[in-house]
Amino acid sequence: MLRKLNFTERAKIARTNVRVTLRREADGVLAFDPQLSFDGVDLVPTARVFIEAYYRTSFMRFDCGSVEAFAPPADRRLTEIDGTSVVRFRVKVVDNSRNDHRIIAVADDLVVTEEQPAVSGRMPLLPVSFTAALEQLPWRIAHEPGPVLELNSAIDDIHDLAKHDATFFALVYPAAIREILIHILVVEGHDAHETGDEWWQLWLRWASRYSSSPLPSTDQDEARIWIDDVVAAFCAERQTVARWQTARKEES
Amino acid sequence: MTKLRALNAKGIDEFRGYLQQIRDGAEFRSSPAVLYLDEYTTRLPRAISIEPRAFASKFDAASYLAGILAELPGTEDNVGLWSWLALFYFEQLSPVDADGRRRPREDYHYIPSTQSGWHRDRHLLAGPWKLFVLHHECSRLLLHPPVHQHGRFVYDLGFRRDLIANRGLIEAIDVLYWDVKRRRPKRGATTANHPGNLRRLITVIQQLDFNYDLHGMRADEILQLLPNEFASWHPARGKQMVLHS
Repeated sequence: MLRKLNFTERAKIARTNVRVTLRREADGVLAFDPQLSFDGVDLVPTARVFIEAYYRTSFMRFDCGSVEAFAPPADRRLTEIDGTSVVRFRVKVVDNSRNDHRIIAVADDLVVTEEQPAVSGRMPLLPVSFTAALEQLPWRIAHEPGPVLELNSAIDDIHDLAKHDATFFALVYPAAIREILIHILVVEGHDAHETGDEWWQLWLRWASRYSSSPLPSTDQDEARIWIDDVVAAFCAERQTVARWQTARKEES
Repeated sequence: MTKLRALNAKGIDEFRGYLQQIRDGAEFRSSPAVLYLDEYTTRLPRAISIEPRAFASKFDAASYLAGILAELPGTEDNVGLWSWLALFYFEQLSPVDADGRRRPREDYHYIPSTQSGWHRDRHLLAGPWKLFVLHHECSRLLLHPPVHQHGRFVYDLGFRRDLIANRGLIEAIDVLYWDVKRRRPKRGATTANHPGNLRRLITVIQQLDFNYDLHGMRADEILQLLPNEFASWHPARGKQMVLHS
């Protein structure tokens, strides 16, 4: 069982204090526009602010001035970030007044998608990334560490299919939800009763709506049964099979 | 002296075809005409001469290429240029094995991948060139293997771009694991059960990353943060290093 204990003495910058938008420039490169507020966070005014963008193995860092004089650089093009429509951001506030480069506040794992550009206290539960790197795989869940639904951009009309197609919905989403919940409760063994706004806690809160049983404790067999319940209830609520059948009749 | 060119789309297709033919058992003929014909290549905006050299290591190749490409804009993303270079030096990038056969690896080792993911940096010449441009002399540890291999340091560090792009950290790794006298990595640096080995360092760095802005730190500042298990790797052990228990 993983438990997160905070020994770092770092302040947490609430997601509501951070807003990042992505835009694609004329040459196809993504660039970002950040807005930050340090309201309610006790910080040294001269502390430096850095924004780091990352996705998978790619990484870029931007010096954005200080707490008292927040000044993102003019060039915010994400030229080094792997081709994707999803980018994760981290905001670091660093106090170097004692020459020890100590991180005094952080906002981490801010997921921004091109499709859903604004982040301000809200985080997409399952960001979607359209990628050409899947070869013959139609889709997969990438754990970054939060889940990203990667869809193969080589499939015609994949954007539309993902949004509106009942067959796609029936074949992908229940399996994706199952994989994500198994990853949270069985593979990573997170404590289901820990509260907070980490990506996995948001997922468990969302999934709890679909089960009348309490969240499982440490028993992995119990967790699997709970996950089965959640996925079945999700499919029942969305009328997954009925909508699929209707769509097939309309096609034929 | 040959003038450097870039393969065009047709040239890249031809190169892919060569790679498959060689995998199927065909022999590679050095200096193929594809390298020099306008039908398969484009000239560069400025004339650059290139020599058919034998490289002692990836570092040797990267430092030579950094020299000749220094004034060429847009080098990093020029797929045609790196493909041309890989074909020009192909005999070294895919040497004959004990059976007298060349066994080319996946295409992205020779033709840069334009897809996202770790294989973007697996081009056998572009990858080392990027590391050399970023870290100069301190890339010698990462680029110690022969040109056709990647090596343990690149495999272990390459999956974390935030680590491999950190100049202070790469210099600290050079201080710890580069044997200055023998001009090669120290023995045991990548041995899994050796205290203070590279993988253990990566684990410790990832823990320190929670509290310290490692990207803003110099090598000596990072070394000061390391626990005692790394003391025996440091050449100035007991003098400059005040390691934490």
